[in-house]
Amino acid sequence: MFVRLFKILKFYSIIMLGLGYFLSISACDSNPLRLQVKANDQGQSSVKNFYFTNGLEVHQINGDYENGLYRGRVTLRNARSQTRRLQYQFTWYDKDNHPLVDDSAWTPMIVYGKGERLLVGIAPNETASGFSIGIRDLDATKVFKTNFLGKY
Amino acid sequence: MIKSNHIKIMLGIFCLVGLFGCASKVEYGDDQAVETVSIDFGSTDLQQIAGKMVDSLLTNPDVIALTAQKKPILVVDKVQNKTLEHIDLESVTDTIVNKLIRSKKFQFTDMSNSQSVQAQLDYQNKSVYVDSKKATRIGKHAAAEHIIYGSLSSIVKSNHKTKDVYYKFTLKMENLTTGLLEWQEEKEIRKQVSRSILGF
Repeated sequence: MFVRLFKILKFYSIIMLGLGYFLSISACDSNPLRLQVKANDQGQSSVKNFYFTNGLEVHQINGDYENGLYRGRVTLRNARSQTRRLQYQFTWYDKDNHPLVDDSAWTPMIVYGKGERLLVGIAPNETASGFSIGIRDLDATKVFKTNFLGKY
Repeated sequence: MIKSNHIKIMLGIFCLVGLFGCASKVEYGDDQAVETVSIDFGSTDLQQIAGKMVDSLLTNPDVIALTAQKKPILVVDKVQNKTLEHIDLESVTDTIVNKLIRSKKFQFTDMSNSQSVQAQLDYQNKSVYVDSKKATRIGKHAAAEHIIYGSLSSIVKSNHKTKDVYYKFTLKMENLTTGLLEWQEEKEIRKQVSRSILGF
């Protein structure tokens, strides 16, 4: 009696496990892990050949003033041959390195294999004197973040 | 006996699955995250459009020259919705105006509430209940020097497997004195949805 019951339970548990595995591989991952990498303060001058891991390369980070507003420029390169679907977000800081209350949204972008993208962000007001950029790779479920602070 | 056991176990499993299936969870999300719930016009599209328009306006050489000495007074007209979707485009222009006011480079007049303002001014200046010496004077409103207007259009294409939507948002700034177009910018967005084989 117990042997039969055990066989039946084993049979259904295999089915349930199979169903669970099937559902897990079909589901979409919408909560990526976050990995932050922060560079030291770099002053007003530009940063060259600043590399991320995972096949993403930041070749240049520049900060300058345009019409009294701080402007950030980031040159990003996809070192891999596959197309990458990424997201980026600028965060702005005042002279005391406090983040400004801003609503900079994550912006989706496509970087084709071996391709480059220039990301440009304009500060929300004249109190901003530095920025950081977050780059999120949803395919690899990781977030890379660097920091670039301008004039003090 | 075995059949009866089978039925009991099956019922037990279905009840367990049913309990998990009925569980619902409410939680707050990140309002700045990329939203891909459906292919329709969404919050990420709004944020991308507003960001591009404001960045372009603030870095345009002609606009920089315009804002170098003074804060120009702008009025925002309605943005025409040329798509087949129902989209609240006033929300897009509100976000753009919000960002431009925060930049402290422009001033705005708001026509969307002009009737209420007019009624209040009429009340203050005509009613016997209001001290006439303290009533807000009529005819002192600042006049807009530039008008902002635009449109949102879309192209939708689909087959049995894929649906593709292309949005184009265009915004213009015209000088009300000269009638000249002083600035124009557009933002293109392409979104695709493909039906997966498994249907998840």
